[in-house]
Amino acid sequence: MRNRFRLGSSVSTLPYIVLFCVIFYLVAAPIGLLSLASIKDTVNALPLEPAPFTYNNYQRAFFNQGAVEILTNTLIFGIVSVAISISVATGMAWITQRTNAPFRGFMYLGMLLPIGIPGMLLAIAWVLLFNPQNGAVNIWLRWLFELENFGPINIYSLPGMCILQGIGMVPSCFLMISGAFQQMDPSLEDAALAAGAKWYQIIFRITLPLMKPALLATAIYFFVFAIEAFEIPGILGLAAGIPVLSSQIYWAAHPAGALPDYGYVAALATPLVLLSIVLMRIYSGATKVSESFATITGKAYQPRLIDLGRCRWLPTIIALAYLLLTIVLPLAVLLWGSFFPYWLNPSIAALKDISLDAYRSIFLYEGVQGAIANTLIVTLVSASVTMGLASMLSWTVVRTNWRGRRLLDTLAFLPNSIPGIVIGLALIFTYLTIPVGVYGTVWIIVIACITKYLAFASRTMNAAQLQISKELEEASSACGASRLKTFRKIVLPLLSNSFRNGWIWVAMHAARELSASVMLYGPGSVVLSTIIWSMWQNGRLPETCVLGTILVVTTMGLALSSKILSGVTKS
Amino acid sequence: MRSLLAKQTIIWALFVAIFSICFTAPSFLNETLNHRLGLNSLAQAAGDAAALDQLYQAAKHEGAVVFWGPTDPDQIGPVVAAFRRQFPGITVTHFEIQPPEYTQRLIAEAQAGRIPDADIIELGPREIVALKSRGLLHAYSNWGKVFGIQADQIYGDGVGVTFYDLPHIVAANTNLIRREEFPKTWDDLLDPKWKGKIIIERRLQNVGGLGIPMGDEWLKKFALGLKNQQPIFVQGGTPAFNQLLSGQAPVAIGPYLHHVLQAKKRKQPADLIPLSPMLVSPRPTGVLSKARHPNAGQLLAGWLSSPPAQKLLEEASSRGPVDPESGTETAQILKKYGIKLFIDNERTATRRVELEKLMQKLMGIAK
Repeated sequence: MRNRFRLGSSVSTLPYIVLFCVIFYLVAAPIGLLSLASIKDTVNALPLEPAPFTYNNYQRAFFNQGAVEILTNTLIFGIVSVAISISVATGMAWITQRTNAPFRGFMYLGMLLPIGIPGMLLAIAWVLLFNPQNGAVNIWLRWLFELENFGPINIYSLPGMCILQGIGMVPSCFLMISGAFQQMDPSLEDAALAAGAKWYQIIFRITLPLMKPALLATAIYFFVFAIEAFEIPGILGLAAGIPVLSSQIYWAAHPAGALPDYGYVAALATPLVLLSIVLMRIYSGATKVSESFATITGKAYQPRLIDLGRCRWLPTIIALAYLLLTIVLPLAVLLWGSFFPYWLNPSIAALKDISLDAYRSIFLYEGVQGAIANTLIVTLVSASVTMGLASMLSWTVVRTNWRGRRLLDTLAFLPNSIPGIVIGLALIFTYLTIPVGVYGTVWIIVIACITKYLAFASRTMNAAQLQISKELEEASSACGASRLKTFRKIVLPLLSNSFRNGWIWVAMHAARELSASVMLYGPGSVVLSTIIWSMWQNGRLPETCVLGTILVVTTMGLALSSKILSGVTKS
Repeated sequence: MRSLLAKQTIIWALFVAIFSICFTAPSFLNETLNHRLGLNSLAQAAGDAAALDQLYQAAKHEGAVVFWGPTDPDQIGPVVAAFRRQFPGITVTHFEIQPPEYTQRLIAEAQAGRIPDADIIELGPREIVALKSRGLLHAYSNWGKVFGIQADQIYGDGVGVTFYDLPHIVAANTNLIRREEFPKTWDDLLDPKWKGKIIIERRLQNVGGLGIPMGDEWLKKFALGLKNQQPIFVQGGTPAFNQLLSGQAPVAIGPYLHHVLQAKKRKQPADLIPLSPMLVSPRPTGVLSKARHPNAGQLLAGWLSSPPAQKLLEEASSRGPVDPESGTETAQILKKYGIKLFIDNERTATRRVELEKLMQKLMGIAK
């Protein structure tokens, strides 16, 4: 039996067409600009200025002696970092959502802390901790084990990059996966337990297969994310001499000359877009039979925690050790850095130079208060609109048989692979051409964030939607409820956990979004991320660390509020 | 009764009037005096006070000026405040934005036929090339006549006048290396003792352009030698300096002179390694050709080129012009070490970019 609503007259397809038009409107300009720029000679010109057409950009990008090395490094970097992040995130999500391990709530909050910090700051924190010359951890290890004056940990290497990128993506992967764990009906696991299955058999033969849509959505999204992310490859890869695709894109977009070479940027980014399309096809094929992943059915269920018995402290210890090493330590570096005029390795002697000057000066910095207000607008509106659109989109893709649903799903995913600078420039041209009063205001930044983060939101909501059995909606329809009412009263409440998690993720990423914002902000629309960037450029490291700390506290507040609202798991 | 009330009212009114005059007159007189002094000081060096006054009146009629540039607001604040005091009636709005972003935005806006939000911008030679070729900068022929600005402080055939200069330097962490150990020449950096001990800014703006005064062959040899030193690459002059200060390596090629001057004021362990020749990127200001407030823009640009403005900027940021006659700390230090300066301009900018790209390829950081 097909698990989709049958569409009646053409009038009933109107909402889907409207949704398609909205998504197409958001995505068309960046995709169009990317495609056009890739075939134009833009060495000293913007893509829409008169310039000859050429295939030279692709030649420079992929037919040179370094191309094989770049592509190989990129693939290894993407695959290994995603494998690390999904493994760790799945383990942490299982521990915090499905077991009775102590301090689960604390671990949940801890996992989310780094989400609000700009990737560049986290990368700097890793360098200060683990650089082989004078990283704080290396100095301590050398003292402890009486080692030579280099290393022993060297993050300026491909393995180092993969591990740190993987760790960096764990909080986001965790958010995407934990929502699916939260709404899982344990009856299948109960049945397996009753049949005598061991807990590891249950995990690998029941739980993980049921989580396949969520895991696949996470893997697809974060594989493209890892390949496109710049901070770790740009800072560590540059020092190590390991080029990847994203660092090449970044250098081309931030050249020594006055203008970026958009043609070269677009040519480098085009494989990412094609890869996204291919991955979406794989995802569609793998999740075609959605009923097999449904875990929320018409039968009543109570989320039940798995009793780990005497072993229940072991996952807590492992998880807390992981949090200490990968989250607390870099955040502590930022906090330490905020108290000194320049970086000093942690020591008792350094304490004499401690100062609150950066905290005092940050709120007197011109434009900070306005930036906080603008950032709040960007954060709240972007997150709400993005998740709203993603909810409607996922329902259309998973539940209906509308012909355009696959294209809609792919369109929503594509901006994930488009460099932020291209999105920024596309929006500049769009809103200079369409005079709706958005250009130069905070609303153009909101549009950029919605465009960028729709991919994450739609993956999250798709995975969550697949967990809901159609019988619930059929029952509502049988009682006479309209499709809209069913969506509002049945579907959305069931999606609330994933919606909330996605909302937090989009909100914190919108707060720290830089690559498009730096192109779009104006005198009245300065946001915190552009101030952090300016301060970094002007050498104000302590103030940069202060703002990073503020973002961490904000993330903690949001996550705590979400935890209180959901009230699902008690520590 | 009525007459008593009327008398009291008149007395109070007189009191308030006298009170107001006593408190505002000095400030009014001060402003007028400052304005006069400002005009006089600007016009001192063979400038024309009458022409300047005429420009000021036109600027005052416009009433405002919008200034875009990458300088930190805390550092530009005192300079802007002084301009407002000297030229009352003109509000100045400063917006911090980096050159690549504003260059793209101005070009895109011009293409769409939109009048720019900015009137005056901080430029560099590369921005001058990009914007002037598109007719986006206004060229003035009267900088010398109105403000007394010397010809060598005027860029792009009149589109920009010096605000400050950025000397690209090699810096040392004085906790890790003594002054006696400083390299004396560029080629000294190729000594094996510096292997793994040099931080270098990835875009190579501090060294690529040396190919112009030193020759392409020298640059190629230097690039290959520097590659063998296994330097630590960093993006950005300021991050390079921060990593130097953190002690990651004793030498950094990439910071600017003002980084070191400010570090010394804060008693941080940094010093200049005085290698010659030294590349200098000028940072002139220029007025946009379709500026809403062109007269106020030219007045501000001219004023920023004056000794009082440059002194204020140097006090706030340690940035100043390298011209020995400017008397700035920047100029004095470079003169003290006898460093030969190569000052970039819009005619050498393109060649300098080519050399930087060549050096990046030779060092293996660009494919």
